[in-house]
Amino acid sequence: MIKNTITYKNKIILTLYHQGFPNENLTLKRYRKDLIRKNRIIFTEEYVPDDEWNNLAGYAWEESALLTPKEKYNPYSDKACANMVHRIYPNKPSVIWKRDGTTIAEDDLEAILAFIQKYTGMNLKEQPVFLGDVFLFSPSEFEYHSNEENSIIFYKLKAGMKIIVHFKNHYNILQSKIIDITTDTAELEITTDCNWDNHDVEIYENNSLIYINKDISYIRCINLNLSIAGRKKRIPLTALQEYYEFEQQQAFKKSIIGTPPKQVQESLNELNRILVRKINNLKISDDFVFVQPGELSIAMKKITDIIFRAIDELWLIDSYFTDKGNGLQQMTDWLRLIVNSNATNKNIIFYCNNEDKALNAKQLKNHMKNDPIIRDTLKAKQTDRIQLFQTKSAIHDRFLIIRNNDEYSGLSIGTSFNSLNSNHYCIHVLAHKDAKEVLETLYAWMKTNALTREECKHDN
Amino acid sequence: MTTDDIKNLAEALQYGENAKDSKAQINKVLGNKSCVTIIKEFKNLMPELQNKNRNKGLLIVILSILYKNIGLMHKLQKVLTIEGLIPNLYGALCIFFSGKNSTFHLEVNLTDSQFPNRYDYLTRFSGQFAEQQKIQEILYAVKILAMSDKAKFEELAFKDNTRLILLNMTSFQLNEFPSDTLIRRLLRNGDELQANIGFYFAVWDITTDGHDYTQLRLNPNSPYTKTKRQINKNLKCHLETFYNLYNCCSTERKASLLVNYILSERKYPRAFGYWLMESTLQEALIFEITESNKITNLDKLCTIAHLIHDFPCKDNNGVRIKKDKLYVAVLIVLKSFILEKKGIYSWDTSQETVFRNICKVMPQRYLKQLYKLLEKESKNLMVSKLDEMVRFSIYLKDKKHWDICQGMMGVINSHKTK
Repeated sequence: MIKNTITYKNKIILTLYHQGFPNENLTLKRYRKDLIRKNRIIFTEEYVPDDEWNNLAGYAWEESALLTPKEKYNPYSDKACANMVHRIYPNKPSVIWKRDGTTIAEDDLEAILAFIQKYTGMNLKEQPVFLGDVFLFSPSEFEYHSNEENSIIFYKLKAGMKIIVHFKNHYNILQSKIIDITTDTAELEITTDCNWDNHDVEIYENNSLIYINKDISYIRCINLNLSIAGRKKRIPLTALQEYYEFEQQQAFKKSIIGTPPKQVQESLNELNRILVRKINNLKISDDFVFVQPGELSIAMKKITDIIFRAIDELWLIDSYFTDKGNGLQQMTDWLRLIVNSNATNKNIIFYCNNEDKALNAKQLKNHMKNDPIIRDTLKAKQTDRIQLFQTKSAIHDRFLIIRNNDEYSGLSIGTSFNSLNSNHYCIHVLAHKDAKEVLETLYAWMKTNALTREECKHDN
Repeated sequence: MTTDDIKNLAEALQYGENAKDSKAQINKVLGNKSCVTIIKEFKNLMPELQNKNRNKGLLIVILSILYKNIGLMHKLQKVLTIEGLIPNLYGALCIFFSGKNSTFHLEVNLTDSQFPNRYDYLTRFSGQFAEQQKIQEILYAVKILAMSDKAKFEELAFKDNTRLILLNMTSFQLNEFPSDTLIRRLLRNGDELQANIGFYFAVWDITTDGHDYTQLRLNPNSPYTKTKRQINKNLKCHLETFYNLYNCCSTERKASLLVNYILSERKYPRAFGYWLMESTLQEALIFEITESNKITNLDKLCTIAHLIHDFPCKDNNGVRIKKDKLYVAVLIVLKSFILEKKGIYSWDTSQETVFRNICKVMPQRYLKQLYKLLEKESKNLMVSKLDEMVRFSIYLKDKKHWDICQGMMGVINSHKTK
């Protein structure tokens, strides 16, 4: 057997055994090493006797399966089916998952999975829970291809095998052929008259499925559009930068390799693509809202949803949050909502350089204490605190970001919280990585740009 | 002519991309005046111009006249000489080519630094060092200086920070062959590109002799073919002249220039081989082989290996000394090709032939060392059936490297048995 192991921070995080390869016992022990944020990750390959697999202990149960070439964690990917025995270890390596519930950082996990895929061929992005488990694989490989006559040629078939081929057009089966192999066959051609564009293959031996692959298609034509990059056009600028250069569009030269589809078929395919695109264009994105004056309720729903989802941290970043005038009432309302949020750590970042026009940190604190609702809420939630950060300079965009455990989410809002009912603006949903980046960047920026900090809490 | 006219002409020349606009504006200022009138008018205007703007203004006028009609060069040269304005032209060209003036210069980004062997750069891009259309007028202005005052022209050529003048001399765009003084200056005091340009001219006659030999071999009966005796006589004479120029270089430069020539031209006079293998140049030659990055493939390494094998290494007293260090240098390059996966990118019959030729001249003990390295390297490559199935992209890269290692091991093995 050939044994592959992946070791990270001196812990084995994945073990694979491969069986059925020629000259297995000549495999030399070899290593490939890399660093993931200063931590060593090592791939090892060596030959081990079969007993090692038989003597494995500590696993909870094992599963056997035939993995299709399309299964992402099939190490042989599209080259073969894999006969797999999967031994599951419920106690995962501590470098991946600790008993207190903390898991590995996402960047490290991504790098580990990329390393694993590079050396073992297993894509565990959808099954990272397999880390810590042990696998035994052996390949089930068959060679076949199509020819110009639209037949399929199979090679090296043994007596007793049964081959089933479904010739298809998209998902529709046009014709199925079942062939029993009675003697060892070096080459077998399966012909068909139908106009198929993909096919499935199933191969049985002793009534057991030993190979299956679906939706197999072949490239019969390549349409190349070539253009030579020309000299860039330079537009002189005044303030942004000295100039801007852009590539000038050149005429494309078309060349077709292979047999192109029939003109009528090609036109119908193109028409279908256009119509499908039109249907897709209607899809509404959940991550973007365009709000018009008078549509405050739409914005309210998006924002309050975030505020009341917060558990650990909540950050409201709006440089013009405390601007005096008509907006102060709206500001008070938002503060009432924020104090009621479950976030343990609530923060408001705002800017004030003229106290005639906006409240400073102290004034905002007093304003909050003078509001009966806020006061009562703070009294009811005595451990709650709201940090008020007044900055030296303004940030243009407005953000609402929350952190729950190690997951971030948030919104980017095109106008100030105190003018949500009177402007045209967009609200963008920030995914984890974006929200984290915004908050970490602004956090670093705050170190040199925070002017004063006040803490608003219930005073006995 | 007024100062505003000069400004307008300068503006017109800057249009660059839009030749029509440039020509229209120049015509508007110069009208149908002859170049003699224009230069005379400019000379009358000179006292009104600030000192620092006089020379620049003259060059702008000259470039505008040439832009209008390039055929006026000879007339222009005459009138500038008569009016005593050649020194002013020289001054203007010096400022222009120095690149120090922010508004009056030529911006050129040469790619020569990508060529460790600068001689290769000269021969590969000969005649293409700038878009002639774009710098035609300025080159003609330089030509006017060359026709009027060769000493000043050569001074300008040496000082030119863009290197365009020298580069265009190598392709004879300026119809000027440098004097021995300039060649010596380039070889001794120039930067790497300048030294190689100097060498290019110093070795010119010898390169021509080489072409004569080729002609003799290919067309012995042609009336234009020289006899072997004639060529040998010429070569002897040219080598003497060349040696006088070449001898002014430092040891390192001598080795660098000869290696450049040998690698680039492949055919070289035997004298070059003897000179390069002199014991005084040995350290410099080892540096050229191992550190200069000039040996980029097996072909080039083969040329060097044969040079080491074919010529004796002698000290100042004419006593033969060992060449081990030089063979080790070749071995270092071969090892670096393997370990850094460079120099040999696939294994085919042509690579095999070249490597066989290297093996023929390399001492056995160094081949054994190389064999051991190849064996070790092969063992670590991912080329098994399992590698092909689970890590195909690594397999593809390693397989190519494995083929190279196996190919080289095969050649070394076959060489051992012979």
